[in-house]
Amino acid sequence: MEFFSKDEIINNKKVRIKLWDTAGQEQYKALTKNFFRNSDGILITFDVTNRKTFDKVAYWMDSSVQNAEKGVPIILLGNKIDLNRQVSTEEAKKLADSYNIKYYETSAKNNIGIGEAIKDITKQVLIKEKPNEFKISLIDDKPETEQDSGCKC
Amino acid sequence: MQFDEKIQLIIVGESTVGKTSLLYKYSEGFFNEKHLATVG
Repeated sequence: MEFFSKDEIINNKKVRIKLWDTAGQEQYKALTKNFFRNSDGILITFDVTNRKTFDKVAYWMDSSVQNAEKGVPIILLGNKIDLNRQVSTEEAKKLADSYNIKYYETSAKNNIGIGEAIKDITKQVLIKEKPNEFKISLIDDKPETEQDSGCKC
Repeated sequence: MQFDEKIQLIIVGESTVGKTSLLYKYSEGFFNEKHLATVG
């Protein structure tokens, strides 16, 4: 497994974010399961131009809930919004709402949404793990309406 | 390098949805048109 790393300043604290990449192919799914256990947060990704990948979000959601620590923050990412889509924003938002998780639309190519999404889940992790240090100041950080505008829907 | 907090995130989803491209763009700032499938 490969990982990426980036530092962000959140609430005047330097946060090192280690991001584990995984292989999506069927034969590696058992391997991925082991990685859930050590994760503080999970990004479930699908491709808005490929409905089959959206249909598999339920699988990844189940796998996350079964294998990760209880209550771990999860967000849904709809990627490749720079291309012709098969899955609408409304549909994806509705699915995310049904799991009570946030939905972000992203484009790696055009650099849309990804930074916001990762900062959002990082804040969720920090608030969960260190509520006394992060909770109050992060609420003041941005108005609630702005925090919810990840998918601009 | 000093830091105050350290967290670990994992990205999952079907093959070819763009997981590696998203992480690469976020952490390195580049988009790789020629990325092949991540294995293992």
